[in-house]
Amino acid sequence: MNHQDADKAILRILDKQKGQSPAVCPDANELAAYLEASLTAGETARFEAHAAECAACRKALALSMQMTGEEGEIDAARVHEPRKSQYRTSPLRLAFVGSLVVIVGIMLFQATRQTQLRRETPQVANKQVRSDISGGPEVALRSSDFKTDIQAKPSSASEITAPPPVAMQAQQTKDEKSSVKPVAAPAIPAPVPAQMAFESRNMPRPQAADRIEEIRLKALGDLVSEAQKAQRARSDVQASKMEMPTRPAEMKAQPSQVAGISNQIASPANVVAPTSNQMGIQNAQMAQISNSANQMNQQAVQADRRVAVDPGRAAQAQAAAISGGAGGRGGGGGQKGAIAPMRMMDAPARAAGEKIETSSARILNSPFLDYVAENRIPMPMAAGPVLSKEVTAGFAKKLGNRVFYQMTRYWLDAECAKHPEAPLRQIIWDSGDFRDILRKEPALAQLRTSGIPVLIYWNGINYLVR
Amino acid sequence: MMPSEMLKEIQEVFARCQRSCPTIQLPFESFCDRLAEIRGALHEQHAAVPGQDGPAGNAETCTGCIALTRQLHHEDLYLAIACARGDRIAWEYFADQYLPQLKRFAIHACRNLEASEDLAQEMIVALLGKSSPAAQVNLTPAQLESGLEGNKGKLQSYNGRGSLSGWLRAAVSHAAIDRFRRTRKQVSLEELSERGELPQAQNPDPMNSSEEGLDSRWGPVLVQSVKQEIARLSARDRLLLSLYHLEGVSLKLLGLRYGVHEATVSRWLEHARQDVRKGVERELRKVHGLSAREVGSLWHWALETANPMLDSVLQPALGRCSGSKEAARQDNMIVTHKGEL
Repeated sequence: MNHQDADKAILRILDKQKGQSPAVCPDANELAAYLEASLTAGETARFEAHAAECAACRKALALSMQMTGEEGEIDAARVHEPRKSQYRTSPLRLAFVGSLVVIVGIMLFQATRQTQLRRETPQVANKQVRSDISGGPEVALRSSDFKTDIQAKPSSASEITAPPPVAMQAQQTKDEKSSVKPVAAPAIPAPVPAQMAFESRNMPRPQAADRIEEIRLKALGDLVSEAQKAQRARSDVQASKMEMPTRPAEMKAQPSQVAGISNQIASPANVVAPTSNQMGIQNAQMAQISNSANQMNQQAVQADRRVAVDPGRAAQAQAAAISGGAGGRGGGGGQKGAIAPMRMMDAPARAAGEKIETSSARILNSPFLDYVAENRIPMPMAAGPVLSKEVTAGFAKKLGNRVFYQMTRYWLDAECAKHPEAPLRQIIWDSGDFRDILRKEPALAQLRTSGIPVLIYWNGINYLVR
Repeated sequence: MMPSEMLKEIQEVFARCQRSCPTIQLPFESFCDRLAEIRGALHEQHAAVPGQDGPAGNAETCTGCIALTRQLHHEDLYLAIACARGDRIAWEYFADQYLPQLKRFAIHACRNLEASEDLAQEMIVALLGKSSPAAQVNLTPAQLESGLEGNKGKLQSYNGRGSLSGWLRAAVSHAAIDRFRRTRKQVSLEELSERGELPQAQNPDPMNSSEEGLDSRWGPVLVQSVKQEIARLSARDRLLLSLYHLEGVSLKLLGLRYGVHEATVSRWLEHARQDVRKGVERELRKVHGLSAREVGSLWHWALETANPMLDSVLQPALGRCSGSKEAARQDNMIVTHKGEL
């Protein structure tokens, strides 16, 4: 049977019924109160009963509702409140939440159990390793790299093979991170895969130690060979980049790669003690790799790219470059008023031991930034919640008689460093104070186009203009 | 005599109203008197509905009435009382806040600029209390002043149960319907015939003699059954069906009124239709012995037929004088053809 026919027929008959007009019609007060749900339950029922029968009242109600919809005076939020309560009590929702909790619990249990197994296995394996290894040079390996490379391979030790050839730049960087360098570091046992741990438990102790040693040496050999390949590929790429004009993307990518290598070199990574003559060969190869990395650092510096050899030194290097590039006071160029990016090629030399006394260094060391940091002035678009003294970028700009330095996502007026004791006041770009400043120094209007806050010293007040 | 606690509460309300419109000069006694009137009217309404929030004692002590009095829109009421008393500053407040709204409501009700202007003028005159329809929409202070003295307009009937804006909306709706009725009466049969909209008497088709028999046999049965089932629905469901299917109110607006999502309203409507349909079919099958197929064909016939016999059967029960499609179409004209207002 066609229900649509039935529904339409019902409505047709309903249409005939609508002429009835019982009793006294409610007035505009009651209609308004009904629309705003201000009537009591009894009044509402009475109104609805009447309006269902009375065509005139129904029309007035319909018209008023349509006006209400057009005016949009009813709060739309009311619509969603009942839905929330409906869903809150929905058994389907409860069942879904319950199943989710069970699944998460199972996953947590499995993860905890695996962690426990991993903790147990190195204790078994490394006791034997330590007893076998004594004297000889130690090799620093990042435990995470070792773990990743070993565990990514098949669980059986005999199936461990070298990873596929390096094809992409990102892969090269990853490989470089896994390169090794001999350093004096405490011997920390490297983790052993769970499968190996189970095998070693079942085997006699000497046999298990030999097996682990064999696997470890093989893995080390693979790592060294991969690192050499990656180094060769990287050298080729570097050579080709040196010949090509510099592109911004490369400028950004290269420092991080080099920094990754240098971090790898400098980091106190987990150490696995080498055992035999093989390690001597490997050490030589690793030393060669580290030399290559140093050469790359130098190449990058010569290519006028920003190289962060060490995070602690980078700030000083940047500061030195700021003063050299902007005002010519540091002897870095002497272009008056030039908007120059920081020339980081001077940084390592400056950071090596020279005492830097430039305006930007003074800003860095001034209590003003401490004041900003203490007052927790948020950094726009910055990763950290509080302004840090570590400089993340460096540009200088001369506008009128003032020199501005871009530091930690702020443009800092050099005058602010001279007056750190001045009170700090936050204003917005369109405020009257900033207009007063612009009237005196119209050149500062250019700062607004940068889109980042500016610290300006003006009339004894440090203004933070946002 | 008003209880002292109530009086103190009213004084606080009055002070708040004075802060909202500080330049209006309304005596406290006038405000109190109007509140007492409203409370008395509410108490009468309570008394008229047995078993619903039963009134306790008189209007002064009835807890339900006191609670309702606290829920009134006092600021709007204050403004309305002042306007009704002819306070010029109050009218300026009213003109600033509500006259633009009133014009928008009128435009919405008519969807015709001229008609909406006429309706707005009528409303303003009614609010001012002048019986003359020659009031101006753009009132000058002098006109305002001349229209105010001694005339208590429609605003005096505002009791603060809803907001003044909502009251205006309802008042404009009523005025629009009244206006439409007045103008509709002026349409002559000649004009209708010139337009070609005169309802034609239907000649029974000899080919449909079987349907005639069907009409005479099953028409009253079906109509009666549907009426019974519709009457069994709750008042809210009946109103919803009427508002949605007959008046063309959207699901969204209905949902806004009832505080639910439009899908919920749609479900309510479907349930109501289903209840009626199932009830009618059950009765036709059990009482009259029709099969499911016959019931289906009966629905189809009721939908398709335009036979006046069905209407003639319906009208005595429904109290209508001419039950043709034309009459139904004209009844729907307010919503579907608002441009004619």
